[in-house]
Order: sequence, then structure tokens, then C-alpha cells
Amino acid sequence: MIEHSRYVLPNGLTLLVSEDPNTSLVAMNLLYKVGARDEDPHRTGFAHLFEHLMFGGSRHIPDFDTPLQMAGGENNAFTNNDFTDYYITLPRENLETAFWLESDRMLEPAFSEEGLRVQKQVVIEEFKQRYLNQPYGDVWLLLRPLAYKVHPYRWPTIGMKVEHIEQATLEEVKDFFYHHYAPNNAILSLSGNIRPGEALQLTEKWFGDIPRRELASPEHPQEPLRRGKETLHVERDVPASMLYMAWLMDARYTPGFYAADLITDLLANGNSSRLYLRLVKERRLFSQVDAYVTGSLDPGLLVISATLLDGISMETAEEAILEELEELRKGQLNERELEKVKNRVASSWAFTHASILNKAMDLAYFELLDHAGAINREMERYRQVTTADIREKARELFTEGRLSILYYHARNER
Amino acid sequence: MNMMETTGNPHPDRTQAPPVRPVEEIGWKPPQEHLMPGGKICYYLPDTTMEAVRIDLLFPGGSWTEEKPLTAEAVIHTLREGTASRDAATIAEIFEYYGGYVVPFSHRDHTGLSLYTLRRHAPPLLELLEEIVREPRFPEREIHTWLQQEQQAFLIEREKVSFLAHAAFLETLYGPDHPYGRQRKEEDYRAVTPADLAQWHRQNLSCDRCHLIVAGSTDDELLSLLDRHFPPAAPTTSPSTLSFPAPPPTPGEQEIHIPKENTLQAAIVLGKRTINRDHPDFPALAFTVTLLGGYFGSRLMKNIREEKGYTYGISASLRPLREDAYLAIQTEAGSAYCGATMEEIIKEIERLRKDLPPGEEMMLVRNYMMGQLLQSLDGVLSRAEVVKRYLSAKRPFSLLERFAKEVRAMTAEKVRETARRYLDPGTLIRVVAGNCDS
Repeated sequence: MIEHSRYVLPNGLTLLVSEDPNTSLVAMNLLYKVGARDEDPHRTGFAHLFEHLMFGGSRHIPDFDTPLQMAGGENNAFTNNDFTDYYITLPRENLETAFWLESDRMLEPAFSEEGLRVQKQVVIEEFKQRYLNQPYGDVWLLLRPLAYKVHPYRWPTIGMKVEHIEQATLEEVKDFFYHHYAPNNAILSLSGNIRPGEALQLTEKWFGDIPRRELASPEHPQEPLRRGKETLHVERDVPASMLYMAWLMDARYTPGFYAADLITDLLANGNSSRLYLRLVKERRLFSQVDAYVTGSLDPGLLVISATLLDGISMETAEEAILEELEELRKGQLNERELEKVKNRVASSWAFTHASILNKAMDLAYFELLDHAGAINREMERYRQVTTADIREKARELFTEGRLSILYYHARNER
Repeated sequence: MNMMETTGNPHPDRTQAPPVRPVEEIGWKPPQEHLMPGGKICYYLPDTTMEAVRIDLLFPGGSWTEEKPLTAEAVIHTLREGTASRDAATIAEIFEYYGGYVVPFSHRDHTGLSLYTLRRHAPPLLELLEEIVREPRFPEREIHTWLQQEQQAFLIEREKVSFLAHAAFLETLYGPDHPYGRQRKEEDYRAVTPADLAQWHRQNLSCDRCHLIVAGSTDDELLSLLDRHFPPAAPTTSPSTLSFPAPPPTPGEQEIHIPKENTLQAAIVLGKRTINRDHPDFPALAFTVTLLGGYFGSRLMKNIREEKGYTYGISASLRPLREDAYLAIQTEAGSAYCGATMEEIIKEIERLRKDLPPGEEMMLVRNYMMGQLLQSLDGVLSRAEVVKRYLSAKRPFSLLERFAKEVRAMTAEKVRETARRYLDPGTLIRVVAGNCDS
């Protein structure tokens, strides 16, 4: 159980507090309900670029990081397709510094041409370092537009291309801020050595006077199922070929999500998982195999990826994976195997939530999904999945109308 | 849970930073010690609010004790691949059925296994953990599969400029035959045999030489389970007799370029061998290196990322090993900015050697480092990591408190003096991998 209190300020800011007297620290997480799916298709990568600009100082504070480091704190942020998340951990005595900093940049960041110019350049270097200058770095730049034709999940958070980042203007930056960054579009969560009453008082003091803002409500057109599978072949200078198969699946907070998530665990979580045992160890087709769900707010992807050993063809690889999925569709699954993946979920949950930062992050995340209290029912949702649910979910998902395949060929196969 | 609406407030004074109290105490508490039969100590860090527990087995033999490259890592990763009575699939299924995670780790100075489990499932998993450590079989087929997987992962790593630069840096620093300098080669993955693994296992993985570190939901019953499963065993053979070779003399200023075609960025590493944890100047050097490039607001980050935008990130750090230590500054910069980045790094080092850092910056670094220490000791899992680090390094835990004390007492003069003594640009090896304009 993650005990917590929940409050909503008149300006719409939601506050969640989970007290833990056994630590000398507090973690503060501030989630804004804006991500890459909210971007203009001609200005992709904007939410993430904006996250960088949030560190360039704010109306009353020239530099975000210095005062926080002075207070012995640490911070970072990330952007994904659905939301943007800022987090801080610091000694409890200095908690008010975090309130002062976060509330001032919610009020208004310091917008400047020079700041924008430099951060555009930093983000372009990030684009190169993580997506262009790494083996397989461009996989998601290719796979997303294959799997999504209409939904904004068709581009990654870094953006569709470098040019979109280069073209961003200061006017657009300001406009983006005032339509997405607002108390009524944010969730503040605290975990650690802090009493809920004190947290509320500090939140009212620092965030209470920030006005509500009128929010943009970008459309997220839902991705239709197709008649047949989508495929793409590319060739790159990489040491080994890879195969990516992705099926459109249930949105994160829907009843069908849990069976699909457990399917990926049955397939590839651990050395006793099906694909690992049969395709890596018995048949020696792959050096590595993985299966996971993207877990997005709108319908996401169930992904299976494999790195092929020398001499294994894409056809063999694809067929071998499909054969394993066929077993699930036929209902070849006993209680013990299902119990196994549920037990793994439970122990990994226990370790994850031993950290105050993870607790604060997850409270805000569940509030985004539905309401923070759902965090304490999450394990129950996994426990309720039956072998019949797995079979039905496999039959529903593993069809060609949901499937996209990326064949990533090594140029000079050895 | 409650939900309530609250009333608005007058404007707070945002022009004034709230008062800050510097961290004075890092909250270090040594782990508790449980004396096992035979005199070995099990270190434990209990947290009664947790339902999970992590048990680490730490063996002092790392890759430097290998005669053939890759042996230590291969042993620790393939213990699970079969024992006298169970095959790999059965072992994996039991660990996973009980929700356990077994995570092998290997390093130049140590190897080990971490078992993550819910406390209530610990008994069957400890029994199995004992079995794989005591009587692994290293089956030919499974070992071959593992080597093949790792070889491919290695080939992928070798495509990254950051990997190439770091490898060339260490090889230059310690020499290609030294255990800290020796770099993996593709053929290493074809040379190791199951017999090599069995031999290294006999010499190095005996439990009378391992450390046990337990963090989380612990109790007397768990400790007595550990006594039973990891009893003192008379070693069947003597430990590896390889002695640690003295590192070669510092090679001095050198520039090395590792070509790689079609790269958009170049990876840069600058560094040298330096003093270790127990040297009196170590805390001062750690402070100086942090000020230069050890945190987000550091001089290198401010100048090269936040002002110039040449890179997504740049860092400077100290890497103390058991027998030696080195410092490294590293970054990946756009090929067009690579030469300018190198120049700026040297400029920042020269500035440290010339001017005294302002008082505010001193306070900033001091508070930041104390905060980091506090954070690294928060929660039993983090504290156990620190315990493992000191055990692996064979250094007393008391060094940690000395470190904190010295950090609190640092002065601007001492930073400059330290930079002059330890950061002479003329002594730095400079490695660049990938396309660089200059």
C-alpha cells in the first residue's frame, strides 16, 4: 500500500503526498499533461525542446540549477509521447527551495532568443548522439511512422527530423507554454519526510496564485486497424540484422492492457521465458530477443525485437516468432507459468517502490491515468488475469491488421 | 485519502530565495555485522518496512585475475546454465516462479551475484543460489550460446565512438597487456572454453572468500539461512596466484585518433592515472574534478553545453579502482565542434590552475557534493551499494566520513593548488574517436 493524501487547489493544481518518516529527503515530481502527441505535425520535437528551455531560468530566478545544487538537491526531467515530467530530490530542510523553483517556472520561464538558439543546438546534438550516431539508433524513427499513419504517435519525442527543431521560433515557444503549462494541466506529487498538511501549506503558498490558463486541446485521431500488415526493409552499417514486429494494442489504463503486458513477460522476461528458451537457446536463431509494451495513454504497441545470429534469414526469424505466438493463441499455457510472470511483476513492483522518487513519480502517473488511488489496485489488476484472458488477448492482438514489421538488415552480413 | 478545496493565497515574495541549510551530516551508519560460523562477516542493513530483500555475494576476484580474457565474466554469467542435478531451464524457471531476479555483475576488481526476492520466497531461492555457486557444470552448448550472444553485443558496442574512445584511452593509460588496460578482442569470444571456466571457478568462487551483503527485509531466520547455505568451506584449491602488476609509468601527453567513417559526432576522452581513495589529497581532487565537470552546473557543462551548444553532455570524473585510479573527462561533440571542444576543455583546466574559484561556487560545489553523499546513503539498497564499493576496493568504511569532512572544509586556495598539482594539461592523454574537423 502506498498511503497518500490528495488535494486540488482552486486553480486546478492536483497535489499528492506520501509521507515516509524513515528518510531525510523529499522527492518532488511535477508532471505536465503535455507530450509529443500534442505537437503540431510540422513542429515535432517541440515538447522535448521545451523541456530543455525550462532549465534556462524563470521570471524571478536567473538560473534553475544553481539554487537547487546550493540546497544539496538533484534534478532532471524527461518527455515522452504523453507527458513531461520534472523531478527533484533534496534534503527535507531545504524543500521550500524546490517549491520556489518549480512554481516560478510554472508562472513563466525566461524566454530569450539566445537561450532558444543554444538549446536548439544542444537538442540537435542529442538527436545525433542518441538517434543518428548509434547503431540501431534510428529504429524508432522508422518504426513509429510504420505502425501509426494518423495518430501523433507516428513521431518520436525527439521529433521527426532535425529541421523541425531548427525552425522553432520564440513566438511558438511562448505560445506552447501558455497553452500547455498551467496549474490546471499539472500534477504535483511529494514523497519522503514531509507531512501532508505542511506540503499543502507550501503548495498553496507557492503555487496558489498562479492563474488557471486556457488549454489547447489538440486532437489525437485514433489509429484504425488495417487490412494487412505494414512492412519496411532498410539496410544499415550494423554488425547484425534485427527484426522488429509491432502490434497495435490496448491503451494503458484499459482492462485489456494487463493481459497484453503479461503476454510480453511470458514471451521474453527472463531466462525461462518462451522466446528465450526456444529461439535463443534451443534453436539458436537469435543472440537476443525482447518483448514489451509501450504503455501509452492512447492505444500503444506490443513490440517483439530480435537480433539475428549470422546466417539466419529474416523469413526464418519471423516464422519462428509467429509459431510461438500461435501457441498462445491455441491456449498452450498452464497455471504455473502464468503464476510465474505475476510473481515477477509483484517483486519488481516491491523493489521499484522502495525509492521515494519512484513513489512520487508513480503517484503522479496514476493520477494522470485515472486517479492516484489506482496505484494500490494495480497489482490486483494483474492478479485477476486468467489463462483464458491470455488466450483471448493473443487471438485478438496477433493479427495482420495490427502488425507492422521493420526488417533492419546488416549491410555486409558476415 | 481526502480531497478538499482550498482557498487562494496572497502572492509570495518570489524575489527572495528561501533560506537554505547546508548539509552537515551525511547520515552514514556502518552496516550491522553478523558473525557467521567460521568467522566470516555477513553485513546486513535491515528495513522493516520493506517486504523485499536483496542479497549480494561479492567475490574479490575480478577480470584482473584471469589468465584468458573474459573468463571471470563468463563464469559469473553462466553459473545458472546448469548444475549437477538441474539444467538451465529448470534453474531459470525456479528463480522466476518465485519472482526472483538473479543479476550477475563483473568488474575489473570483483565479480558477484545479486538476488532480488520477496522475503517470503527467500528460502527456496537461497538453496538454489547455493547450488549454482557451489556446483555449476558449465555445459558446452550453453557456454557456446552465451559467448555467441556476447560476441554480437560486443560488435555492436564497437560501433559506438564513445566505446572506441574509452577503450583506446585505457589501453594507452595502462598498456595493452595490463589487467586494467587490456581490451576485449573479437577472438576472445572464441578462445574461452568450459574447462577454463571450471578452473577459474574452483580458484575464485569459493564462499570462504566471498562477502555477503543483505539489504531490506532481514531477520534472524534469514541470517541463519545464510549461515546454512554459505558455510565456511575449506578451499579445494588455492586462490589464483596472479599478482597485480605495477602499472607502467605515466605515458605523458599523447594524442590518439581512432578513425571511424561516417560519424556525425566525435567522442573525446582526456585523462591520466591519479591518486586513490586513501591518499590524503583524494577528497580535494574529487572536489576539484566535480567543480570542473562533475555536475550539471559544472564549468565544462556551463561553457560547452549551456553557452556553446557543442554537446549534449560532458563530464569529468575520478575512477578509483582497487590497485590504481584514473581521472577522465569525456564527451561526444558534433564533428564540426570537436576541435573547439578540446580547446575549451584545456582552457577550463588552465583557468582552474590560474584563478581562485569564487566563494559562491565553492559553496555550491560543497553543498552539491554533501547532498549527493546524503542521497547515496538514503535507503538500505543505496547504502548496500556503498558498502559493496568499499569492500571491493578493500578500503575501510571510515574513509567515507573523512571524505565528507574534507569536502566540508575545502577552500578556494586548495582547489587551485590541487589543480596545479594534479591537472597539468601536459600530462593528459587525449583520445578522439570518429570524425573530427581538426
